[in-house]
Amino acid sequence: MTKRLNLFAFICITILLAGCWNHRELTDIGIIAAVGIDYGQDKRYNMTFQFVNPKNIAGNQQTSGLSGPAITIYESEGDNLLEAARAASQHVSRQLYFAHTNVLMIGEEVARDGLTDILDISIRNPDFRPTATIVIAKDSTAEQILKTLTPLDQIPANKIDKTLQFSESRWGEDIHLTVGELVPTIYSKSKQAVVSGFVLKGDKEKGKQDANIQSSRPLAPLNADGIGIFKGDKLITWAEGKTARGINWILNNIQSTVMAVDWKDKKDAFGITINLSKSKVSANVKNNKPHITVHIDAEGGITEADTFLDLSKAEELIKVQNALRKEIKREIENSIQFAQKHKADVFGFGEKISHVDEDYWKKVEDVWNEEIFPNLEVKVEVNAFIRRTYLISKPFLYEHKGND
Amino acid sequence: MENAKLSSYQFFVMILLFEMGTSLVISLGSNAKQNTWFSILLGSLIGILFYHVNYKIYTYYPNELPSSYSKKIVGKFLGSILGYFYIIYFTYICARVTRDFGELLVAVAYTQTPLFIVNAIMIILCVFAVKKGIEVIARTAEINFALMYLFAITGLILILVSGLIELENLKPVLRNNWGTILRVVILETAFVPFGEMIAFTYLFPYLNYSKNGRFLGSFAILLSGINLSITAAINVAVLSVPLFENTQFPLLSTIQYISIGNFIERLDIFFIFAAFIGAFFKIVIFFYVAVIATTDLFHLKDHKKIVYPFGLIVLFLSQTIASNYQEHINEGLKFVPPHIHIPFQIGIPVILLVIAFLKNRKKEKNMSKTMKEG
Amino acid sequence: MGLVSKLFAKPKKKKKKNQPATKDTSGQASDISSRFLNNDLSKNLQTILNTTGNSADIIIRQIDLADDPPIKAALVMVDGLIDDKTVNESIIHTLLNDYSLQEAVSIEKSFDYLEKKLLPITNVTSVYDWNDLFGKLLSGETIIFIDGVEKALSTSTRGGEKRAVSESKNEVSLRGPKEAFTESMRTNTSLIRSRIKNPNLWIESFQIGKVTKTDINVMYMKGIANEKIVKEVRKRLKRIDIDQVPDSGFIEQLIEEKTYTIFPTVYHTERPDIVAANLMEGKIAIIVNGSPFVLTVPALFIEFFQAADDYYARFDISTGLRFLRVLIFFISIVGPATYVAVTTYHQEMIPTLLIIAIAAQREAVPFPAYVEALLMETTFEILREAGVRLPKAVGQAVSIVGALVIGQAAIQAGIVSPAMVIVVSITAIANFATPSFSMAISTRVIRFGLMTLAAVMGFYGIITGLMMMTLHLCSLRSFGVPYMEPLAPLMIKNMGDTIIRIPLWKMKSRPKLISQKNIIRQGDNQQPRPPEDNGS
Repeated sequence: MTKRLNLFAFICITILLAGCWNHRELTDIGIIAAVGIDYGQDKRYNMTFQFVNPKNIAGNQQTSGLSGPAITIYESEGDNLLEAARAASQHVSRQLYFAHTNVLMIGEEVARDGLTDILDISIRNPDFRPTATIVIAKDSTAEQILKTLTPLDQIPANKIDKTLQFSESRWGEDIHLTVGELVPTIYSKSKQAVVSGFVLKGDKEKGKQDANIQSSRPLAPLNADGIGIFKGDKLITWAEGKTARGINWILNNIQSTVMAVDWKDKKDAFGITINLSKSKVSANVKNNKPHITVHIDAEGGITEADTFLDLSKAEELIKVQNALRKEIKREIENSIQFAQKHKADVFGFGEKISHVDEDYWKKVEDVWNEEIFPNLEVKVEVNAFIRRTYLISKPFLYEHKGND
Repeated sequence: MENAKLSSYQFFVMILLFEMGTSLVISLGSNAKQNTWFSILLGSLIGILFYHVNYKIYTYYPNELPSSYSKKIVGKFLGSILGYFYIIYFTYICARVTRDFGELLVAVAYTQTPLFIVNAIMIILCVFAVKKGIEVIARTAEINFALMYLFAITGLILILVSGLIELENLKPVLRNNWGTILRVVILETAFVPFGEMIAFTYLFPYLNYSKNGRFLGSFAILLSGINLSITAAINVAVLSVPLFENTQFPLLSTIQYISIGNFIERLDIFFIFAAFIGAFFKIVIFFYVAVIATTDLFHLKDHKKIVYPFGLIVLFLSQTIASNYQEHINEGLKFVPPHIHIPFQIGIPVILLVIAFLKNRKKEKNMSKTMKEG
Repeated sequence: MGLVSKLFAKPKKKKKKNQPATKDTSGQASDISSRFLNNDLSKNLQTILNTTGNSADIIIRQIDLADDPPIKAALVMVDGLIDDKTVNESIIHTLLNDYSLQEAVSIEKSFDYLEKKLLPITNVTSVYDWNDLFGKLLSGETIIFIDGVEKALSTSTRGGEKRAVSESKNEVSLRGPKEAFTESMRTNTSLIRSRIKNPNLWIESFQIGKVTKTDINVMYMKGIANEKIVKEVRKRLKRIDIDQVPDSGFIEQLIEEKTYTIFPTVYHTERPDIVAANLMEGKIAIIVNGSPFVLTVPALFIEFFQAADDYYARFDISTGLRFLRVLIFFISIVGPATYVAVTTYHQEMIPTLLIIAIAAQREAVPFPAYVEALLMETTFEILREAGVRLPKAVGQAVSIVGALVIGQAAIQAGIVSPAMVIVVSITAIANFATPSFSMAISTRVIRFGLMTLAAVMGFYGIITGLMMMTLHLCSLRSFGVPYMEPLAPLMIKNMGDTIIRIPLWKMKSRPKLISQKNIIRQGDNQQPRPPEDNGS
């Protein structure tokens, strides 16, 4: 009995006294909302950390009156990423805590040199979540973008994340990509990676200060802009505007977007909101020649009419529908040409071929991007439907416009 | 042997939890890439075969532990040696699984905690459980089984709702891959975890309606095989083959991707829960079997007295069997199956079966002869 | 096992035995020269006075039953324990008036005459020895001595002040009978009897407590209850060697299966309808005189999560409420532990906004999360204890003000964080919502253990703790029945009344391990149906 008690006490003491190794109080960790990676001197990595300052987040009962920016930026240099991260402990009074890092921003220079280093640490380290959004800083360094304060979101990392999300779902020119989704495509031969870009316009210096959010119009707005095309792990070029959207059409990333269709001599006469879009890529190999078919199913309705057409008649609607189909097809073909020009199969055509005919793929996978893809004939079929014109049928307001 | 009885349901549930064990969470058979699910299924079928071999031997010597009936089959000396080696085998596997689980926790959540502490806590729990006896373990298994399935179904629903599954990743299905598939089956999945059912030969005598034993075991192995293969399929579908091949804990990676409404995310903790339950049952059953085998072989009165020393042995063994995780995995995949699993899980039982069969046929012949003469 | 069970030990109250000098703690035999009554009246009376030390409440009423031949008699009773009316009218009046109407009866026959022909009392017994006599005297019976007879007549005139049957204060039910047990054992058994009017409801009587000689009744349904369990109950009750039994809690602790466990293995209740229902399931009730709490054995884990209302309401609500109770149980054990584990080890589990909010709160607090949790929990326990002792008038106000003021002031002083207060409050509320008091106490203790484990190893510690608890629960038995039945070992037939509650007409059989035979309790086709002609 006493022996048992002693043994038990011994075990307890050993465990309890020896300390708890993974014990981290909330006041000891610095929550990092976003991480930026650039080149510093001599091509060493310069990492920027956007720390959250919990006391300054509005809506908190504990605010003692002192308010400052909700985030704090610290930078640190190192030969590799881990070194840079740990070296930051010299600057910061907290342990770096990456589990809530929702944005990983990579400077354009680093992206053009290759992303593999960065991706390895992000999937190997248990602290880092694979659901973090990855973004490329276009025409600037990640440091500059992360230092910018934003008016609507207290934590700028949230702005980046949410902007990408909503842009992807409502506009279609950007991709909200997580690290986990990026990794399989980085070294895949059958599909090249695409990552969204963010650009900082306006006065970059003022962007870091409170002044940026004090005025009604931010002095240094942060915008999502374009999709970066990768070859392997290196960024090679940017697809912008409609080209970017075309890529998204094929990748089945379009959830909702707006297409403008020309009519007769009026440009962008009709605005059509696409509500549903599904893309299917099918491949087959005949006589050692690959054939790809891209099939798009889309549905939408006319939400803006800038010219007169009797939309109450179904045949007229079908005419607009055909124009829509042509427009979508044109966009898609443009982006395919763009990718072919840059010899990067971002659409995953190679992947489809590998699913269908593995032997053929094994023979050509090494030369796919360079030789075969650029000359690939892709058939694009668009099945777009205009289902409704919403609350009014004829744009009767235009009927009489010419009479003024 | 303890004075305890297990009901059919308890037996079934224990096998299920034991089989799913750590295999649910570590990469099982991932060398078969997108066809892992198939090699797991095949492995389970082979596992059922192994199970039948062992069960058949048991039918010749009902209500006896293997250490006593092996003495009857091959003679006292050889039988004792066999029993002794099995004790060492079970202890080793117990230490392996403990190490597996400890490494998992340290890699995923407790990065700065020494492996010793993590393992020690698990071993203390197992010592506590084994001292209480197999009936308590069986009843706990019933409760935990319900929990485990609850987690599994919730997880499945969450993954489906997240829209993470891309069936494309599973292609090409079963084409051009047969060589790898079969190699994986023969070298890996058939033995871990399905061949580890050898441990249950020490639990057969506890089953109260032994007629069901064969059916229960086969059904449980099949069901656990289906579960594991569904999990593997989902993992491949969510992660895509390259990531699946290279990650240490595919189920964890899958769970980390779940993000619904920006609110239901970061569900790693359920992964740890599931891993814990599975690992616990595997470790505790191996532990228990090793202790019982020792008690039986050395004719000890009570198994409770040697539980503490065994705990210490397993704990220290789990620290020393490998110096890093890669060595541990490689040992488990390359060295252990051909050199250790094959003889212990199937080699020796087959030999025992053949001898037992011959012996019993002779006995029957003698019996019928004496009956005819009498 | 022994090691870690100590973690779950409920301190066993050990009663100090009386001075070991007197082995026979009754203390009476030393004064009496013989065990049996004398036939000399004055000697008997003297013995009584000596033994009770001339206690002021012993009344001795001397009566002359007859003059020729002279028959002297005496009535001995204890003032306050007797029903004055009965004594006056039924005994004294009868003896004084009606005895003389009879023919002269000799002393030898007078006793029988009184016993069988004269006294209009419900219960008369003969007493031969002093132990028996004092037992009955001190229970409120009137003892009649007749000079020259070596036995005495004990008449049941029990009365005295008793609490009336009132509403149950601790176990309130919205729908269902409201009666509660009182301290009088006979009243309690009558409440049960009136609900089960079946001759198979058997009562066995025990006297436990060497000094106090408390009456204990054991009730069970013959034919439904398991004979083995009844035997075991008898055995354990007989084994009790203690000097006093002030409440059924003593009995509970002395017959329970295993002392070193947190979980109760004996169920107690204040309500007769619950006891009656339990008896119908084959359980055994133990009623202790002087205690309004009746014990039922065997008790299973699931029982402590069932309330009487569950059975009187419809099955869908009851099932929902039961699920809620399981959730409540988990919240009350795991609540603070989860908070501690999540904020110190697993910060990645909570959504970003929440972690930022909690981090902001914790900036102001000087203590680590575990210490904070411990502080708050302890404070709450203190508040609770205080709430029990406060007089009713002040109680409500003080507890509300105390909680609000202390909570709010503590937050603003920066001693605790608001999130912690919320967690502790929710846990406390969950604790109050547990139907059974014994289980609520158990959860309080477990909660502290799990908090410590969480502080040491985060979620791994919590999971280990829970697994240990499960193992422990599965190893418990209550009078031979596995504690976790019907969850483990799984018995689907009995699952109808656990976390879910199937409609009443489906509950056809009694729990199997408790009552072995007599399993069917309902006929088939009990499902209510609309009338055949559909009301037309």
